[in-house]
Amino acid sequence: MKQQTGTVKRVDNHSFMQEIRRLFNEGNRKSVTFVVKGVSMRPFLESGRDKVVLAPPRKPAIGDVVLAEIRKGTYALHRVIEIEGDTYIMRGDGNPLWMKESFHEDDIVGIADAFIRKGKLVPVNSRKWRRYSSLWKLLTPLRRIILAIYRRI
Amino acid sequence: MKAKKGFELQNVCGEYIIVPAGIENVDFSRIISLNPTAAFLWEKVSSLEEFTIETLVEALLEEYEVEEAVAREDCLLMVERWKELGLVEE
Repeated sequence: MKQQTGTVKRVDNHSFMQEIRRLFNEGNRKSVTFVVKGVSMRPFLESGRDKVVLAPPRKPAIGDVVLAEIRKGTYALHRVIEIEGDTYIMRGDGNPLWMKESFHEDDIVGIADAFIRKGKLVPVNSRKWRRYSSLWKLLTPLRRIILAIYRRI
Repeated sequence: MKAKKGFELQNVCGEYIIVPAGIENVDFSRIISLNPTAAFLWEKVSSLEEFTIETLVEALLEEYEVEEAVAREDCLLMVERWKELGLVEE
């Protein structure tokens, strides 16, 4: 009957996403915060360390970081890079250039409002995030090298 | 003592968690989770105006096969934690 403190509970990804959808559908929650996992948003977000503050679904714009169901039961938190009609194309900052995922508006679980990186809040409309985003875009040709170095440190 | 108002017990992916009602952000990285027994007791007392350790012990004995002394000890420990977490007040 003791409550655990300071422990990390891992939950099944799919049911967690359903839960977030449910919370947003209820309508009175404006954001949901959780720890990210996976390496696809490196070098900004580190799995198990950083968090994302997710806002409810809306029409995304290029540059938005979206959590969407890209295949049945598979979810990804990536940056929108192209919009073709009602299809959105996104790619993780830390993924190879050829690795693109597509989704539709219905597949959106939420859209990043802010990140908590190394304990510091970084809203997506902050200068820091905007600067990082344009720098990362600028460095696209060097991405492979940077990520390879990053993996080694 | 009494259970503070404004906490919702929810079952998320098979875990019982307590989330503040009316707060616009749900932070899954800092959440109070209860085991099923604690959740059962929280349900019991959160609807009451006031409760005592006896209320909890009685509820526990009714629902579970457990020695009264053990139940009381567990309830005391749990209530201490609830106080620390700010879920109950005197």
